[in-house]
Amino acid sequence: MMTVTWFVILVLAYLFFEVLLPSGSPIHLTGSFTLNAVARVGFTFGLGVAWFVVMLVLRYLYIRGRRVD
Amino acid sequence: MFPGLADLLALSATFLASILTVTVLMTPYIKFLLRRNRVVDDSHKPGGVHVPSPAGPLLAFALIVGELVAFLLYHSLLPLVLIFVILISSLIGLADDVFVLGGRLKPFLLLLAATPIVLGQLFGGGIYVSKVFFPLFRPTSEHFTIYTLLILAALPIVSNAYNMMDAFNGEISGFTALTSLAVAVGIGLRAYSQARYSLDHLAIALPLVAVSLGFYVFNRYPSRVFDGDSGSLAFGAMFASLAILGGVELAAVVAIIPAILNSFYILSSVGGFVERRRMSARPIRVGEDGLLHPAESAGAPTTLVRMILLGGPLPEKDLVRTILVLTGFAFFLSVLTSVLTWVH
Repeated sequence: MMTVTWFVILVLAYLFFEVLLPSGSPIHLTGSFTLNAVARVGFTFGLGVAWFVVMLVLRYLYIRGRRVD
Repeated sequence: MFPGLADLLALSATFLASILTVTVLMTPYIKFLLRRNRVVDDSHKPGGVHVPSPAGPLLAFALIVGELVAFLLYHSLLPLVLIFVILISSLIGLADDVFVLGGRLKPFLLLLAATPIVLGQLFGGGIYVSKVFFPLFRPTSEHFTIYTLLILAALPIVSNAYNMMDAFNGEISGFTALTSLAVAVGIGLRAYSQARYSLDHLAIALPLVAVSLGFYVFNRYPSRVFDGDSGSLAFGAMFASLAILGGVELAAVVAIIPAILNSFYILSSVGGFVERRRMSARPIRVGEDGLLHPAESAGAPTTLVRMILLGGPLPEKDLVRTILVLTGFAFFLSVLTSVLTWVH
């Protein structure tokens, strides 16, 4: 569980800082409603959702593995 | 650069000033709390055990003493910024100890703890670099706006994560000792390899290691004193600040993975920020056998501890040992992250 979380943190942070942020000018300069800005905000939201899903799956697997009945 | 004899003496002085302040003053401080009848229930022991609390003001004082020594020795702005962070977070925690702040108000107030860092950077400069150092890859380019927003978010989040790890005898002190040591190792490697990060960055990290180690002596099972929110919030805020100032954000995040998992599962199971004293059901219960059992109630929050106890009931001492073993593994992953960043 810890090792998977470690890997997920590194991968998601790398995708955010090295892929999403450099893929266009800063949003506060270009405006919020350009296609690029909306796409980047959407992908950032997607990364957040990916984090949620992985964490919930980990909890499910952990609890299922520990259940006695 | 390798530290010379003068640097080793300076680093030792910073460490010793903090640890001596805690260890020498804690016993009289405990007597002071007892005289003022400042005690709280140790809810995980049968028979109503009372423990003096909060030790947070003394812990904050010891942290500040260490930072003052670092300031006198290195004449850097960094310890002064940290002193303000410690003061603000500890005062918010003290207000929570005395008045019990709401679950939403506390994170909001903790935004204030981040302001010395941002103001220091805006008006003094040289406080932080807005790039992130990744293992094996080159560091990112500068992202000042996003990075500064993340700083504002990080302090409340990390402080609260520390606060949520403050439930059992010796848990917060042991957890802080291991995590702050992981950050100190990361900063030490950075100071060795990069000119921008010098030994004053390492010096400002040592008081947190020293204070948490000194506090562990009094806080381990069976606790002679609790830190209260004034202690745990100051520990969390200082840890987050060190990660930012030392440029070891990723290693710091990795070091606190147990707290991240704990906070995430609590927040996702109770549906947001809820003050722990106002939760409808407790995550664990003390059985008649004196052991800690996971709560059977469906409405009980899913904490890291409740998940650990699914493997079987445990005495408090063994439970804390398990948590610290997990934190020890996170320490290993954090150091691995720092080394992989350093070799690049």
